[in-house]
Amino acid sequence: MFSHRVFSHLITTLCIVLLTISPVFADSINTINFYNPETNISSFTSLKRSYDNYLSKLSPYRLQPFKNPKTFISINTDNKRPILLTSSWFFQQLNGHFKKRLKISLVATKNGKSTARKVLVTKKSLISPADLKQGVIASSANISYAKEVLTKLLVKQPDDLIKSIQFLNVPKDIDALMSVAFGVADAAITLESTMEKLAQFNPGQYKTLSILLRTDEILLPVLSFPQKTSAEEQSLIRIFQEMKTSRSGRRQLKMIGIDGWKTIDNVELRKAGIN
Amino acid sequence: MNINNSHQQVSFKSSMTLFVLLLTVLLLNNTAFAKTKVLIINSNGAVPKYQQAQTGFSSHHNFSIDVLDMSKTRVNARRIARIIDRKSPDLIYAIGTKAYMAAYNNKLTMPMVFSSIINWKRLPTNKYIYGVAVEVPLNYQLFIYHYFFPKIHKIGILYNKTYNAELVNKAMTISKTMNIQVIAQPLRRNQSINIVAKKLLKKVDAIWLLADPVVLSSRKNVVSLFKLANRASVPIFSYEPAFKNFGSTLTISADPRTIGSQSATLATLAEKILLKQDIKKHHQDPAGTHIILNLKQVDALRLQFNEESFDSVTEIIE
Repeated sequence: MFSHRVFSHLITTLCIVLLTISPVFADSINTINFYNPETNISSFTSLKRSYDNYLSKLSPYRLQPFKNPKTFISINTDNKRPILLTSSWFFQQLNGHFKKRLKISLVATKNGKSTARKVLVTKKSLISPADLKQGVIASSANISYAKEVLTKLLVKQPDDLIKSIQFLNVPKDIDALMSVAFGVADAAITLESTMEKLAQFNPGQYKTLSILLRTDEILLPVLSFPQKTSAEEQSLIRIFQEMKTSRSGRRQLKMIGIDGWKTIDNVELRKAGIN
Repeated sequence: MNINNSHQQVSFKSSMTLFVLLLTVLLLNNTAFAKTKVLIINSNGAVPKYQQAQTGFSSHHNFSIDVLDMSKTRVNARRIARIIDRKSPDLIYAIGTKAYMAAYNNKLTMPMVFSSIINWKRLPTNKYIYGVAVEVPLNYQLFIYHYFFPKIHKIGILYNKTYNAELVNKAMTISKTMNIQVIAQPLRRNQSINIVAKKLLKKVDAIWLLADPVVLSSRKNVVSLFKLANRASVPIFSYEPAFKNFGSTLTISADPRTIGSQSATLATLAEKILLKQDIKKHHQDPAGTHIILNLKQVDALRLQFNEESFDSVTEIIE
């Protein structure tokens, strides 16, 4: 037998519970989770504030950047409809984990291309990879990613060379190059385009450096969605595609070092080594 | 019951065997791969930039670390000597001037790495001391100004000849390689900053603020300079995050966490001294930068800036 009072208490409690848990649902549905081991985003606050400000005017979505890959994976494992903005390399690591629940809908572009090369830059005086023994390599990528790139670059070198190298994690690609220019590091792993920036804006320092090795073309960051996208997710894909058409959208793109997003088909994905 | 007892005994014996085995492995492991013992002396752990340097250093796993925070304990030279004696570290990492001097005065026999010290060259040193400077090299500062604001070609510097003549000459030489003209205006101790700054502001597109004890001799001077520059629609580029509160358009400083991380790398190299190997450089420039862009100022002063540079910004003020 419920009295009217008890019933009203129950309803109030139910309302409070619903109100408390609703943001949790909203968060898990409306969050774009961001993790990119290839670059060191030093200020997540600025990145999140800027993206949230931009996206909130157009959609119910918000950006959630992550520093730790384990947290990123754990949160998204529990997420029924994860939307992920990651490097293509990291997406490949995740794909097995998510058992192909996700598909790549968009790939980033820069200067009209959806791929870029990583380069190993040294002082001009360093002429052979063997000279890097016991050296220091600066990179804005996280250390496990930097090691993987280096292993690919130094594939013909003995194992003990890579083991003898120390990695110095710096905030930006350009910091990595300047570390070599100022003798703090013996080499840097950066995007090839960062060397082009140095050539344009600091030719004096550029002349002291040279590219020792280059990787193959690597697919730029990707935006992935659940296999069957909802209407809301379709609309988010359009928002990302149209980012380059407005000044504030272009700023969001530049903040993560790209200048647009485009669709990508399976042929292109396979060509980039992504299954 | 008996069966249970014997079962428990067997289980206890196997657990003990496993424990002893594990302990042996751990001890052997420790002896075989003994980590370098580092004593971190932090001038004040409550200061964020010192704390970040400590975190950056500690994120390297090559060391077994003890920390002495000089703000928490009543520390005098004798006490520090006792701690160093007791801990007998292989290496000391001193964060800030107070920590550096405390360690230096103990006539250390082990290598020391320092960081987070403004103008470290003024301090006494010896061949066992290694360090990371806090000042971003001039070449890097100018490059960042040019990269963010490629349309700015005339940069003005206010300086006092006693303190910064050499630095200004160096800046003038470097700037030529970047198609920038540095226009320097000396300020004497007895001169009014208002008069001298007004003269300079007429000739330049931006002001490059240096750590000059005469130019920045008082808060009043700083406020006046920023006000005058604002009135003349000239942006100020600075070297210290604190100037963002005065309206600095672009600020470039060393990233404290990278400084810590870099010190750890240097410490690993410094270990080589124990093996009588030489290392290339005892003192390094900072490898990482913290860049603050004030977009409010960019818009207010109608400055044209290179949007490509956005991926290099650490903090945006909107």
